[in-house]
Amino acid sequence: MAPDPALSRREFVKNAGGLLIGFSVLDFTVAPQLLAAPLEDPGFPSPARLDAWLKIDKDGAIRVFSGKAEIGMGVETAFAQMVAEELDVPVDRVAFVLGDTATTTDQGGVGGSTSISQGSKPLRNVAATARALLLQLAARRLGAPVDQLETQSGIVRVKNNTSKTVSYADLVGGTDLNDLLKVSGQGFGLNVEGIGRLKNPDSYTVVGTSVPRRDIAPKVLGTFRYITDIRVPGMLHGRVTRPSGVGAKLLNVNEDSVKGIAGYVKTVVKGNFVGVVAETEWAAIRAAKALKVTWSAPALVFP
Amino acid sequence: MSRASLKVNGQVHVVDVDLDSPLLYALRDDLALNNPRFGCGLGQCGACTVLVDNRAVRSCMLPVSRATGKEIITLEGLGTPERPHPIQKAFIDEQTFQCGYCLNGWVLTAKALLDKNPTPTDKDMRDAFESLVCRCGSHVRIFAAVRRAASDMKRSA
Repeated sequence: MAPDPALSRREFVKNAGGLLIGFSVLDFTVAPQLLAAPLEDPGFPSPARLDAWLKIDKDGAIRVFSGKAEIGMGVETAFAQMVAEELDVPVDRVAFVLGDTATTTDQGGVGGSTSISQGSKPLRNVAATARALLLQLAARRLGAPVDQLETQSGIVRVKNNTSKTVSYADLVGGTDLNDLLKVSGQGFGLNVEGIGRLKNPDSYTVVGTSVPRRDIAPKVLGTFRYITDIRVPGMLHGRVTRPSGVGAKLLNVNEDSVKGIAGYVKTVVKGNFVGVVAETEWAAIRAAKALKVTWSAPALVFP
Repeated sequence: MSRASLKVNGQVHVVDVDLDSPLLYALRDDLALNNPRFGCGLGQCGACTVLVDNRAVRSCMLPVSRATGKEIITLEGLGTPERPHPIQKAFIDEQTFQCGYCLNGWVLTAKALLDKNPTPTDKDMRDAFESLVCRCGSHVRIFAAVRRAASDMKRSA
């Protein structure tokens, strides 16, 4: 699909629907547009909005937005299980946008093995609150009180009356399911709470079961995209030329030493920083090696 | 810069490169084959592994001039999502790897090993994999996957 270049990054991500499942399967024909698009709203989505965390599409697909990133620890798979559990939807219906700073709340990145222990808390609470709101909507639609309703596989139904059902998609699909959430903490400790109450772990049917990791098959089959695989039109390659030791000061750079390298573009000097830019990776590597730089003797900065 | 003809995954490509440059950059930057990955750039980790005439080779060290006229296979050419190679299927079934950055080395070295030795012992595997690095520590599952692949390939042979 070719996005309209006039779309803002956020609009694009919104319209891309279930296509945009984390960074891992980002379609690289659209990445240049995404990266080049101006940021109309540079702020993070407010964590106090439920729809900053979770959206239900017209076809019933669930999209969850988290500031955490999948870097091989399996968090996307675990998050999908937790959300599916609290929301009562099949686990394969839960897709993620992970770590995109323009469209996800600031959960402090990842680190210290905290993505599950801390980072999952707001996701569970949001899923439970979405389910509670869906139950309220269904109560009106089905003409039955909430305590007479039950949820399973993305469907709300009246207990003991199999003919009275409505799907989550029919209740909200495509429109905003929103509510104000109580925000506490920040970074790794960011949490939100709404009207939903978490399930008793004794009743879990998804969490605690073993489901295949979402990222392994794409990696082994060679379709997974890492950050180093990003290419944008006109992209140049850079390499840093490092000083001879800690505290060394830049005395002189002889740019003529690399001007003969095919593909060499320029040398960048800022204070003590020296780097080279070239049209290809190999030219950048060669230039960084060949560049004649004179540094002062390293300072003894450590005792 | 010179024109070099490279046969990669069954297809001949003509690229305009420095013949002394490592094959890795021709594959990644000129042919947009993402799977051979830059790890150490010193031939010490195996993330850049490709098969050259069925031998597992470090593409960060092999000059383009020594890869011309040879059969180069990258992870992309081993199998497809629709028809994965039995070795890929075994690695998926065993849920091997965490970050997966190093996996070209393990999967393609396993391919070269099993082609030569369809029933490797654990010692054969340790010898074949000696110079590969996985910092996530997926080794136990890697060995399980290779044992599974060997047994699956034997059964279907």
